[in-house]
Amino acid sequence: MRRPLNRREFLRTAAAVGGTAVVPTLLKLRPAWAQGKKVPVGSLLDKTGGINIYGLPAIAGTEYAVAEINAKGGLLGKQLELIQYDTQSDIANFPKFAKKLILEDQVAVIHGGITSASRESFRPVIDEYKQLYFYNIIYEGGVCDKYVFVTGETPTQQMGPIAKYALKKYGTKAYTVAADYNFGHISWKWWDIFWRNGGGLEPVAGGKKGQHVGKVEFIPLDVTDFNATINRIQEAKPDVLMSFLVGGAHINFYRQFAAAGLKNKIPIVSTTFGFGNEHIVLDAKEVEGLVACYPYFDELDNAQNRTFKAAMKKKMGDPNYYIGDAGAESYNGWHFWAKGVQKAGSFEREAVTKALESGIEWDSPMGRVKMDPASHHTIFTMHLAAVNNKRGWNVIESFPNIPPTETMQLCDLIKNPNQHTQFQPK
Amino acid sequence: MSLDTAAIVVLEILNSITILVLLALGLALIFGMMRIVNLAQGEFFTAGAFTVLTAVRFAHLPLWVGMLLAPLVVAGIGIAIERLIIRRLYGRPLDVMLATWGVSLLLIGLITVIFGAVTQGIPFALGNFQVGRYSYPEYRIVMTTVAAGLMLGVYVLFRYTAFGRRARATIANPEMASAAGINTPRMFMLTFGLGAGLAGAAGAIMAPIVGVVPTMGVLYIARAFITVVVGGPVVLVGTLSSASALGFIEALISRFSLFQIETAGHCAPPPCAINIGGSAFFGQIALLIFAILLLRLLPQGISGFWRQRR
Repeated sequence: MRRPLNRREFLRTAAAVGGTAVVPTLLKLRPAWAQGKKVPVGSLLDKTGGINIYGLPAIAGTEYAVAEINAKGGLLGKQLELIQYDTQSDIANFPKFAKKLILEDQVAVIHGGITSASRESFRPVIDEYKQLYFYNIIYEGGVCDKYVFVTGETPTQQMGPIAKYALKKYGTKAYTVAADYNFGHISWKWWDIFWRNGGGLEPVAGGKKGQHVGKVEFIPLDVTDFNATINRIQEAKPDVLMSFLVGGAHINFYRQFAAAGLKNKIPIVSTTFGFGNEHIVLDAKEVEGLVACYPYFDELDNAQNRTFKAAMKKKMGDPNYYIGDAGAESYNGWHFWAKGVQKAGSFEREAVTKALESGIEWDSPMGRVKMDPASHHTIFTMHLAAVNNKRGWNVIESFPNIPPTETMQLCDLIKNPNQHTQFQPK
Repeated sequence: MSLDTAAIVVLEILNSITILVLLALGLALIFGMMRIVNLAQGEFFTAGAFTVLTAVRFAHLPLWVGMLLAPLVVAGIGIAIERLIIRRLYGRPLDVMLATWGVSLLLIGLITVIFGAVTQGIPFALGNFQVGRYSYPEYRIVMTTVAAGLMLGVYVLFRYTAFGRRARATIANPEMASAAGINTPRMFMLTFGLGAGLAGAAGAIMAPIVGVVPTMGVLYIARAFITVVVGGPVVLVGTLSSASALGFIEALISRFSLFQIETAGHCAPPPCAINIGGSAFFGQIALLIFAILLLRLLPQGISGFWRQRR
């Protein structure tokens, strides 16, 4: 039997309902991190699915970076509370979880996103809610967004050294295979420019100029059989093969290429091979000698990297654990943000952005890294390296302080603070 | 087209057909014959690949031992699933679909828990041979041979053995078969197990050329269903004819260069245009369009059409 509602109960209920409606609005005015002892911070990475070959090392780097910051007393006296969502290699999850991080968890910063398709899927959410965001992975360049900081490498940093090396060492005829989404298509446009110019954005004086043979092939991420592609490569007889292949399914390309007996006939260069630790999945006899260019390899010898490697091996419980570029860049992303917060003395986006735009530089496991104020991109020392037969890389040549020129030329976020775009070649 | 290119195109077509046959053969028994929409078929494929991985990586057995073990292990898994779940749902097609989808998710989850969600590889040793300007992996020929062997085995099994006769009788008319003294539940179980085992064999054979990852079945299940549906109700003839038709179209379209684009950049050495297309992408589109057309024209599938004509 139900009692009729009396006046006192009615008022109590009404106050409770009204209160719950009002409180979130208040919270939005005063974010969670302005009140509690802990500061929520968010990470969106693919722990499962085809992209997790990059996601897993990036998660390892993320977790270690946050744990390290907390172990040293946190930031501004507050511990970080890392909130991670597994985006499952499904683009639809990124905008969904980004909104959740911003509105429900009220994080001070979001790190993550792996494929460029996933990044572009939730960058509008970042812009809509004016959320500070770090993208910590190699990509096709050109993102020019006041709210976004990039600690990954871009075409100039990789393709310049690769093109010059391949022209000198292998020859002028290149064949290109690329993943069929925005990363592969835009990377191809930049590669066309770098290759034809002999390794620069503008024609490089002297030296050889590259040309393309056969086709450029854009291959969907779920394709696992490359038989026809491999035969077409043989038809075109290139001096060198450029690979912009991405994800777990595309690893098979290298195996099938070697199985066709081409490993010692057509050398491969790539801007993507290795940052998902493909050289661990594949056998040395399948990929030894493949050349890539990254700011980080586990083999780099400096004090910070020795500490970093020992700590990561301990964290993963594996003495042979290979960190790779994706892990190191995620680690760097968090530390760039932490340095911004410390310099600003605040978690507020405007203050942290301003601090990061003052040109923060520090000694990371990959050596000295510097945030370029105008483009929000990172300046690194790049290393050209070849896969060795010990499940690792041999560094061939190092290029100190390479700027992400293609993006810096077009992007000035200090002059144009309202820019939220991605530039690409026509 | 020069002679070696022609030869390599033939090999490519053969390879496309081989892969479709491998994917579809087990499903043709389970879906084509038993009318069970088994959404866990992709995970039987995955289980086959992981059996090989376990045998090679952890038990240090030779590759071929792992490949022989895989169909047996997966047939065992199939029989267990038939006994526990599917047997209770015969004659309820939608429920079976839901249940096998659940099994599919469960298997993906189990494999992920055991092996982790990482991509792993199984390197293999066979060499390659020369076709004019091309070198071609020998393993592709091995795959085709195995696929042909499996088809022949299934044919002999169903055509010439007592088991085959009983299984066919059971599928054609369970009540009559039961009245004639055939243990029909056992026949259903064994046929399902055989279908699972064939998927396991396919997973094992393809494991060395693809990345082994718990979700790999998802990449193949759609093509397996398309091949079986286009093939129609007759298991072997249907699978072979539809795999041939679809594989032929896919491989051929993958070859064409579809259009040219102007490239950006400073065109130092001409030409500045480059061909786009002729990729797996267009091959897949062609396969799907062709499958839709075939089903519009031959709603019973290729073998159903032949059967009607006779």
